[in-house]
Amino acid sequence: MAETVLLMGLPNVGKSVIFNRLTGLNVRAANYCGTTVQYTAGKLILDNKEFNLVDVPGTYSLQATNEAEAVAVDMLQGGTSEMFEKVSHCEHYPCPASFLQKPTAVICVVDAANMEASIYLLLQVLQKGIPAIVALNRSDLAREKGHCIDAITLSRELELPVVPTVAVSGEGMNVLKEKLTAIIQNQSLPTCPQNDEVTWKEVENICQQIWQKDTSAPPNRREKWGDLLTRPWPGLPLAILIIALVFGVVVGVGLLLRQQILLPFFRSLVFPYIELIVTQAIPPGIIREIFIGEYGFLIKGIEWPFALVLPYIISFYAALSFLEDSGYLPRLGVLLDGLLNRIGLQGSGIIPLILGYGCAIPAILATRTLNSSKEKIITTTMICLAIPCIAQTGAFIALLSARSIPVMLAVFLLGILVMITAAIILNRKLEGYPPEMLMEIPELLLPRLDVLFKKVWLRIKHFMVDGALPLVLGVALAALLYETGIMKLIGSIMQPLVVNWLGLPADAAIPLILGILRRELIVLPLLDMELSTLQLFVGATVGLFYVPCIAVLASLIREFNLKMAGSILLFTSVGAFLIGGIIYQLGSLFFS
Amino acid sequence: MRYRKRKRTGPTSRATAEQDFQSCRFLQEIYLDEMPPHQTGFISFLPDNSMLTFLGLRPEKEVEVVTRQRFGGPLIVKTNGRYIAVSRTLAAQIKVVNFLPPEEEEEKNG
Repeated sequence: MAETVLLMGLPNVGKSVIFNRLTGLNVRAANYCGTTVQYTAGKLILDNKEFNLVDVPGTYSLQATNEAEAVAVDMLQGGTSEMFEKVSHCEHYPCPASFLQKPTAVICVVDAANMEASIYLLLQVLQKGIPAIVALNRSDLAREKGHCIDAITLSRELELPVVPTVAVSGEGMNVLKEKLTAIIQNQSLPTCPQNDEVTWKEVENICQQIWQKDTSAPPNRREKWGDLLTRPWPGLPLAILIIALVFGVVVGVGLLLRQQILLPFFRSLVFPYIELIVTQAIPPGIIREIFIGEYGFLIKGIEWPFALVLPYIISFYAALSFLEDSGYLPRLGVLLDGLLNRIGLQGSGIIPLILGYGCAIPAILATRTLNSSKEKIITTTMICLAIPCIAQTGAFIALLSARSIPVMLAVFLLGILVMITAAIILNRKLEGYPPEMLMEIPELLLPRLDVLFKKVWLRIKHFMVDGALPLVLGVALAALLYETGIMKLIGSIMQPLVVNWLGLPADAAIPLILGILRRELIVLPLLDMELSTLQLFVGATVGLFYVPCIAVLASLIREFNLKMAGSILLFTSVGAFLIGGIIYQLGSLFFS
Repeated sequence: MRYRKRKRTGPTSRATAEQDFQSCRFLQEIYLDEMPPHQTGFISFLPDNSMLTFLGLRPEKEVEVVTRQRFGGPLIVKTNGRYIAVSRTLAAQIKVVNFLPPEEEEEKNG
């Protein structure tokens, strides 16, 4: 079994970026604390020998005061942990069983812009008696601020190699690999004071020797903007402006891509050929209809994922990556903290909510960084109940933007309203302490274009594998049900609910069943049903509040338990039919 | 008197804080959430919360209140070049020593 090398450090110092650089993998990285919530292993090749490099979620100390720290301590000692199953991530090479042996070496990532807390953690790691190397990361930021760090003295004081790095640009990575190889070969153990507890006095002494701060330097432009965006004035008006701008860019760029590029491309260049080939190859009948008929999966199965949904995946993740890497999201959290407190959340709860507009699965994972289980439950319920994923948003825009922009806005506003109401109710009903904010506001950074492109590209790839395939299968299933007449049968069984209570055509029963596969499948089939405006509104509302997709249910079971997944399932299906029905019944009084 | 109303006063920069020290001006101990924006003080008491120490809020450290958020949101304080958001309830448990603003001092001197 390959030996293990750990990558440790404070939150938000760039461990994941270094991990990606060293292993060639692509784990999620962003400019706020707690982006990495699970352990990921990757292959690291040093001198033709293979090692497992493990990206450990950021910790401040090794005092094992919380779950994350306890697991980090276990990993350093090479023990087993019950919690380990839950927090490890086995998607990539290799299997986490190898995590459980004592590591061969540790790469301590030290934040050059925040020396004291970094050194405090470093001294604790060194006490564990494992060969270690220091990556002095973000040294460009420290230089820019006029800080001067004496890496040579630090290296001499602690008797271990110190390599200045800039992970985002790859600076120092080769040197880091060379020195790491050397300490593994020599098994050189750090000789540091082995007293029981690291004191801040020691840390401050070390910092005084190696760290010179230039306090007279005037704040630079980034710092000034970072400060302005954090103040209520002009931060709050700017926040509204930024959210509006992001919404505009996501919808606008998505529409542009769809209308001007992707739809014309498929409709004029691809579909005619498909139809030609299928008509020539397959005689008229059910099989041909399954391919190119009403729900023909060679037509809808291509048009829906690649022309209607993909454009919004691109525009949303471009905008989200920009927000994530700039460090704006924690600032938004701070500005809205007071308001979010009233629904039982603290400001940083805004991050999972915003991630949820992309996909609920990473959003639910991100709730791990929240302090209390009460906050986790409230945030998760909000995400599952009324935050549409970007694929479903794309479907909503396709359904509603051509017919009625006000209906589209009304659906989104209704979603926010219901979400807040649900949070207020849960906040009253659930027990727990009121949330208290205590967090560092990261520096405002200008995101790098190459990083943004890479993130968007990864998302597209992810959608192709995990999103488009179930969607195509869903369409194929719909085609099969429609052409064989089973759809009519299901429609007549569900008539009391779908036709009488919701006022939708009987065919709308099918999307309700397909919706469990992918959320956009509740909305997209409505496109061809020639609905009235009221029916559009009802259909979109039911689609918005309806049950989360099967992948989200699975991650609910994983993160919480079967009971939580069950109650979300019950809550969302009852809620969707109740709200949709009330809207139809009230609406039909006025509009008929 | 924990929540004494205070007049808002102008900024006290680091340079003037040092001058104040030299000229032995009046010191007062107040809670962090009572300190007006732009003033600096030195931490004299902290509640038992290890996160505070990791974020650089430790006894004798200098803190500046940068801004207070609306709707009862957190205080933003700056220490050692880092910006930290601290909820009001937590800030109401942290004590700092700072200097009386000049006009109040004049009143005291008569």
